[in-house]
Amino acid sequence: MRRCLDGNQDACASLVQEYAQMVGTVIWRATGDHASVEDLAQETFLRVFRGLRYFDARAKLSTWIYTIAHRVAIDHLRQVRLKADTTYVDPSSDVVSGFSRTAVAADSNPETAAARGELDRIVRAQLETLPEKYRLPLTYATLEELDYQTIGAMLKVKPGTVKTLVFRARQLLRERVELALGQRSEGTHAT
Amino acid sequence: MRPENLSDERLDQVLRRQPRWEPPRHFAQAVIARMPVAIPAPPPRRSLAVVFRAAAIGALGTSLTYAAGMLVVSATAALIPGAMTAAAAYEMFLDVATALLIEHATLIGWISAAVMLSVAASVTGAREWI
Repeated sequence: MRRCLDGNQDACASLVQEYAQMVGTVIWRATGDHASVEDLAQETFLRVFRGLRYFDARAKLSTWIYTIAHRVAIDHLRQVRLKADTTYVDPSSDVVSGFSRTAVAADSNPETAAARGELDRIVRAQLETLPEKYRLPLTYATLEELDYQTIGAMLKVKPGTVKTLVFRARQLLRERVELALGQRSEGTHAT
Repeated sequence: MRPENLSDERLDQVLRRQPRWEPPRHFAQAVIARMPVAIPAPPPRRSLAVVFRAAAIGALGTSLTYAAGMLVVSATAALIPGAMTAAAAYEMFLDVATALLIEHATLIGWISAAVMLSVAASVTGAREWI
């Protein structure tokens, strides 16, 4: 960080490389707008570099960077809402290329795989219907790198509040998913 | 999938299955290319020495002014006939000035605070913030 501040471009590039994936992932999950992720991630790092000399070295650099990424994402969401022409692209969608899937285990049983795919689709669709207050903590909490402390710093709330929000978000999401599954199940029986 | 089978773990599994963003190959270079515009040159560091030097200059200036005033009064008393009248006038002036200060204490207090703030800001380099 110090070398980057001194103008060492290699040090700055290393810093970008180290955090780029996580910054992009935070932004993508927060906005759902994959077409803008690269621009927003760049904007995040430019803000990081602008503020680097004010960064308190006693704090955690990753938390500070993720907080900036979160703010960039929120700013983008607000702008998009103002324009009211947002097109949410489900991060799991097959139309999205160039992104890596993690924790996707190959399923040998096609029926199980299909059922899981359907569940994934419903859960993600219902996740998008949650109020932002609940959606963001839950979305961030599913990223291994982000603990409640970090998420609290990003959202400017206490870790205990994050825990409560995540719990409530899970409850809400499960209710909505169960409702959707129930409706789907009724529809299948009706036909 | 039956609704009653949906546990928190299952829900979390689905949420964790979302893909992660992979930066394009030249992402870091693209950021670095925009960096010179982003990083302003660091401002010159202001140390305590600057503040102490400013304080010393201020104290020296005040002392010299006081000493010069005393010298002028002493010289006047010694050299000019009827200097006692001048000394008496000076005392009267002090009385009037003191009365004015007391009468407009609040206004003078605010003006002094504003002036002191400006001086402190210019010394510490925070002028652009106010």
